[in-house]
Amino acid sequence: MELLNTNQEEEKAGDGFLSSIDALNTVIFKVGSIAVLLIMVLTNYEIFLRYVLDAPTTWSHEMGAFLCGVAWIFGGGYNLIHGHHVRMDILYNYVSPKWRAIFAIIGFPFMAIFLGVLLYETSIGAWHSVVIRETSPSEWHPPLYPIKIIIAVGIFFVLGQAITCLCRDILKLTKKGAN
Amino acid sequence: MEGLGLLLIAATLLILLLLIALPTAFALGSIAVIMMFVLWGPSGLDLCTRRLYTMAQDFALVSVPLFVLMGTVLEKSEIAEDLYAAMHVWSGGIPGGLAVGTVLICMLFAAMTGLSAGATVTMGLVALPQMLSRGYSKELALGPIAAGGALGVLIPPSVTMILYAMIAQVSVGRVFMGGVVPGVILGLFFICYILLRGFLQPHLVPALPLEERFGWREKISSLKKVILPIALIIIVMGSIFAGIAAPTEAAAVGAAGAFLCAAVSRKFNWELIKESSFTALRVTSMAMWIYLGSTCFTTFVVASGLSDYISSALLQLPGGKWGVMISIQIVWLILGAFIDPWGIMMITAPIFCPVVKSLGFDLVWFGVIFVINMEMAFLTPPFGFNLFYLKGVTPEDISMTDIMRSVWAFVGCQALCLIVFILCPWLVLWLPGKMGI
Repeated sequence: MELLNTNQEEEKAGDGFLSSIDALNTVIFKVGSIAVLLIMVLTNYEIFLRYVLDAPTTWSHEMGAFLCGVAWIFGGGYNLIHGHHVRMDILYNYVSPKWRAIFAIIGFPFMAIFLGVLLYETSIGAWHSVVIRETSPSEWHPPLYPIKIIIAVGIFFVLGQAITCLCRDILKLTKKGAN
Repeated sequence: MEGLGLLLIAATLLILLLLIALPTAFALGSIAVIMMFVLWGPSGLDLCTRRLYTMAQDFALVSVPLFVLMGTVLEKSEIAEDLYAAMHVWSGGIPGGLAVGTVLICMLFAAMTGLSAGATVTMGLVALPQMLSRGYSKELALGPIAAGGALGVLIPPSVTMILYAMIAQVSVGRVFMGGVVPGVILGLFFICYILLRGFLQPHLVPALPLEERFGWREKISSLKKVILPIALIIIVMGSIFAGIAAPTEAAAVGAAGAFLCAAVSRKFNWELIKESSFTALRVTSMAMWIYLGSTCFTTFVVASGLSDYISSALLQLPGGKWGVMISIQIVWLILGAFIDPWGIMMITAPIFCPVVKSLGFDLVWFGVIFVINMEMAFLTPPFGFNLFYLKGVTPEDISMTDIMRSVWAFVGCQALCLIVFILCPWLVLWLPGKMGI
């Protein structure tokens, strides 16, 4: 009995931890969606400056692109939680939840390889960027290393979410097995 | 021989990963990474990151969230209901008028959003119950909604076209303008078909009874609410056409204008802002992750010589350049039944575009032809997206079979349209040719 209880508690604790990662990525997504509104305001401001006051900024386009890039990278985690990523559903729509979980577990190593390589390479990229205090070659030439660090962190969060989803799928399968 | 081996390995792996429903983005990306590692060791892997950095600095890609934002805000501020009310007043009096109006609304909707789901779902909720309660046959009530909704990707703005323009390295504005004439003509094909059926079998699509028809006063006043969104479309598309604004700038004005429209019709609230910016980021993130995965995949395909192998195989096909073009259409048609349009484009466009260009075809035209071809993919069973979107909002007594049966005539219109525009490239390229630079 005792053993069973601890098991259940562990599972609960595990689930609580998983849920908190979901919650974290959801909050990040919500913050990221503010970036979309910011981009809209920023671009309209730039248009006003350029066409009305004839005094365009050097930075707004690049800033908009950075905001957009960072937002969609982080958004990848939220889309994983809700299964929003585009996928081929020929089989997926017709199999039981158990098989869906098995599919996801088979697919995970591939997802992890891609995200892992991206994480490794973006971390190295960010590190180099910090070391040489890299700036953008544009007219505005902002420092690029904060962006590159944020991108690496973003990939980390998506990978973290992928692992969370994997844990949940494994839990689902083992629960099914126990019942 | 090596080319064939590589092709077989990569294709098999890709099919397997897609079959187990791994998101397309990660399937493409992981194959790219694995194959690059096997072929060249770890040194080539930073290519993927370089692509990622380039994407995060590309101002043209910023148009994606902004166009989605514009479309979603207009959709959520119940523009469709106003449009439907106006259409009901104007065209309800002729046999098939409500179905014709549905297609017209879908065309307007397509000019506001870059996706196909919005119009299909909205019209399924607004127009379908009306048409069914007026005695329309299931076939002629469902078909126009599914087919009209698919126009969303052909009539600009269109997220698919933005991504195509990025891959093919052509101007987003020109591809947009290339979609206008085919979009309008395809819509007219649908309308002609409905009117023809209405003329031959008026009992299937009855006109509104006389006492329910409206006078000119009602007709004019029904337009009040729809003038603003239509003006917005004209400003956004017009500024791209005139070359005054880059697509991203036009999209930003469009999004701000959409909020203004919502405010005028008293639909502007916190919920609207929140929901539409969520949708904008969700769709953008979906699109960009696939784009990232596919650019990594393309890097592998090009650097490994696989694309040369495939293009030389394509060039050996009988029938010269038209043989190649017809084969490409057939490949797309087959893939269209299984993979989503974004996936198909991202996998095939990087390989096909150089071949097609070397044969002397125009890449703007090629992109529009791709989108017209994909129109059919939205409607054809077993995996047409619009069929499922529509099923999601229809009443219980309408089965999937009803929906599938209703679209065939419209798929026929699309096929006819595809042939017309393959044979007459000037019809597609006329409007982009008139653009101001």
